[in-house]
Amino acid sequence: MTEKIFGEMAEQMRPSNEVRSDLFARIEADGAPAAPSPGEQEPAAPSPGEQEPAAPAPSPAGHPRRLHRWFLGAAAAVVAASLLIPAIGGADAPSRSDPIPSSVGAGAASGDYGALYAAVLDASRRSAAKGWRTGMAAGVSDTGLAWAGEAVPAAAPAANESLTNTQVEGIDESDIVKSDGRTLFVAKGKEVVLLAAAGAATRELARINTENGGAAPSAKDGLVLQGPVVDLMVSGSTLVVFVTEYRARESALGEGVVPGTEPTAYVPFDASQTKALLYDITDPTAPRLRTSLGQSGAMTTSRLVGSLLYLVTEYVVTDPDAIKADDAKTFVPALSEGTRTAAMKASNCWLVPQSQGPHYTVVTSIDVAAAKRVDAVSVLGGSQTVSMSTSNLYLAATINDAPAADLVRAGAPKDITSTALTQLTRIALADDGQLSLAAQGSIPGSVLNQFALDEYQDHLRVATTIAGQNRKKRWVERTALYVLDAQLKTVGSLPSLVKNETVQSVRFLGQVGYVVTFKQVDPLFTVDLRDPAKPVVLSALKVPGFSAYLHSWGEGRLLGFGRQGNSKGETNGLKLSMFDTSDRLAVAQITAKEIRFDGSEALSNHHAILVAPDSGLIGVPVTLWSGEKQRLRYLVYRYQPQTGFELAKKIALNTGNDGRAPRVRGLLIDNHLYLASAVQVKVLSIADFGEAATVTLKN
Amino acid sequence: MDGGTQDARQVEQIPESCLEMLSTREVVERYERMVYAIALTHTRCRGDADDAYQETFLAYHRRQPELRSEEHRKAWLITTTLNCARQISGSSWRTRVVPLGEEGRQVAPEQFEFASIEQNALFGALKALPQAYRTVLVLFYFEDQTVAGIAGLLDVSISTVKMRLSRGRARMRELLTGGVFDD
Repeated sequence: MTEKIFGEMAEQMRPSNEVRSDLFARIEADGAPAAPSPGEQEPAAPSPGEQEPAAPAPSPAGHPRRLHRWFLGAAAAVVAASLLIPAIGGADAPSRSDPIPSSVGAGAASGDYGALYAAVLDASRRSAAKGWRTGMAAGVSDTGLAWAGEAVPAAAPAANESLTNTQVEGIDESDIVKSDGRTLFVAKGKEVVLLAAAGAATRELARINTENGGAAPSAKDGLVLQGPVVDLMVSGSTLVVFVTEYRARESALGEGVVPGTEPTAYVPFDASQTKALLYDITDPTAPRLRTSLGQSGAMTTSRLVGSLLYLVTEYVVTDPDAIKADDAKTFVPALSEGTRTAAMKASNCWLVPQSQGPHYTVVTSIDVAAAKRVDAVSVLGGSQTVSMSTSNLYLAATINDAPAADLVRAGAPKDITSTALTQLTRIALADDGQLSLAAQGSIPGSVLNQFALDEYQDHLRVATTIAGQNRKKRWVERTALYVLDAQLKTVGSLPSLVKNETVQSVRFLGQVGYVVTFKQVDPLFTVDLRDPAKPVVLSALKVPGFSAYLHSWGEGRLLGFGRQGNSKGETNGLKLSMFDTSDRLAVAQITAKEIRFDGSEALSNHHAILVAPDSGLIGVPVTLWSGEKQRLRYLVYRYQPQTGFELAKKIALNTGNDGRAPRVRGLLIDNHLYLASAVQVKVLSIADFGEAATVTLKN
Repeated sequence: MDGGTQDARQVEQIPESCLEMLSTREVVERYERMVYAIALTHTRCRGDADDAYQETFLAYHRRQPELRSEEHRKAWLITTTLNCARQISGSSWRTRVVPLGEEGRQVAPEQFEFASIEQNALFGALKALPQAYRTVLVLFYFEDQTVAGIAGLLDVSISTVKMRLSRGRARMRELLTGGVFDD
């Protein structure tokens, strides 16, 4: 970036003449401001170092604020998505940890609406005082905005195996494209398209419109709107469709404004609840709604183990003025079934020591076969990252303004100040679906994404980036690794894996952890985790660029996908790498393949990449800009030990009507590769990657 | 003036040369570009930016804040614009609602467009940043504020400003080399 461009842009940033004239007209209409007399002066404008002047109240009658028409009854308001936080699966974790309430940190007791009311009010006040500065947590993993759910990468199909690229075997993750091997389910706006996965005979069978019938939003007064389908999950003969409902923040309407009478008014919409719609798909040509189970907040993620579905949402109490001590629904999350809603029981709501604002993480378990909710737990404190093993669900929240005492207790390095903390909460998952808060702990730094946490043999391994200022006032970043016990106390650590590099990707595979960091080159660290108290770095391999995603490719092989880099530390293009990890003390790169495209969803979302070691195939969607348009391609590579990576096929896919590339998922079913997006489904035969069928998903 | 070190309520006489008596209209003409730039980069669309711009100068006009210097006036306007933009964007955590177009893709309300593709790309990347980083980058690169000045305006420590600058820059680099156009 040259300095010149800022000046050029700054010059252009002016309102239209119309807007300026309108402003002058309003100033005129206001008249000359009364000259303040000595005794009644307007209080001195605070110097910028003090309290900010309060934002002006909406102007009185006569100049209503500009309105977005869609608010008034137009069908089409949709959420532009919350940051979708990728869920985490754990590695193999055979044993179950019993819930140990006594180890939960001070102040986590629940069971009392009074205490919850006070806590929410306090959190609202604190976050309001800090204002917008604490709005966006700096430590949130950068998965970018998620639209209508995410594509499901396909793994080699087996009878019950998920076709989504998941972190942990046996734990399915929700995604925008799903399949049970017979039928393809594709999220498309507010609909779900069902197609027969039949090779050359692939065709559309039916569509589910989530705004009809029992699935419809809870109120039709224009104040509740439904967003697009966020994600899908399949379990047996049930399709679970996740949608988020939005409710207008009525207090923002101001007094005396009735929707429909004023020409314009601005109103924010908040995610009020996320619903899991369960459909019976025994006959995919006629899906039937079984039940609608909702919980407050916007969807974070969902996981499936057997026929137990876990849904995690993030619920923010956005309107402190609406909080009433005698109405629990105004300050705790609510659960709904069909049209019936009730506030969560106080005994299921927990507080954490450091909450960053009035937001709850809500976790529920649903028995899909019985179409019933089993249990619910919510934690006032929120979380940005969710990780799951078959026994536990971990919530990780990044705390940016932690007091020094907490930093010390968490083991933050003494030579760096103002670092972030990651607060961890463990929720134990019982076989019958019961949930219980089991432990809490904190570690220094922030986690990258779900892969940075992993449970193995009753211990949690976490890779973090610790960033802050050192004594010389320089900005430093450090990569660290922590091993915690079932009580989430640190038992072993590598507090400084490498200095001045940030974590780019992590993969824990049993007793070994692989961590990729990046500054100019891409060291791939191999860490021995056999002794939880003594993690040891075994080797460090340096290559240019970095891998954003690591995947095990059979015995002694590790696949990496990420960005190509040069010796100056600049990144351009993408690349695939294969590493030889058979000798942990000397991990080496066997081969790499450069991919000359701008970007790929797979860099930030592991669902987008298809990795099938059994067939030697890797599939990844890539995009590039050509003038004003975005082009979308799906690349299929074959990896063989003798020949390395070979491009087997490059497939052109359609973009949407807006010229943007939709999310794509590749699924391997029988002898075909299905490339599915909300725009089209293309079917290719694996033998020669010839096109077997193309189905356009019409609007 | 370094906002961070200025004492709150100094009552000394201020030489007139430090603060011109300007009519509101003249203030608008002098600071319109600055206010609009902050409004644009902190709201979702052009309409919202227009609102924030108007509300800021109206507030200035109605409140007639007591100012000690031109620097102080500038700082008051910057802080007020940020507040207006925040309020207008709604403080719903991480969620926004936009009109739905065909096939479920969002159709953005009218966006501000720059002259060149490069400038639009930069703007897009800037808007994609988390707000904490974005504010610091905008004040630093577009408004030529010093790190100390920004710390004073936002009431944070200098180290926090530096941290956000460096992280913001790194994130911008990431976005501009490919991330922002993914999906």
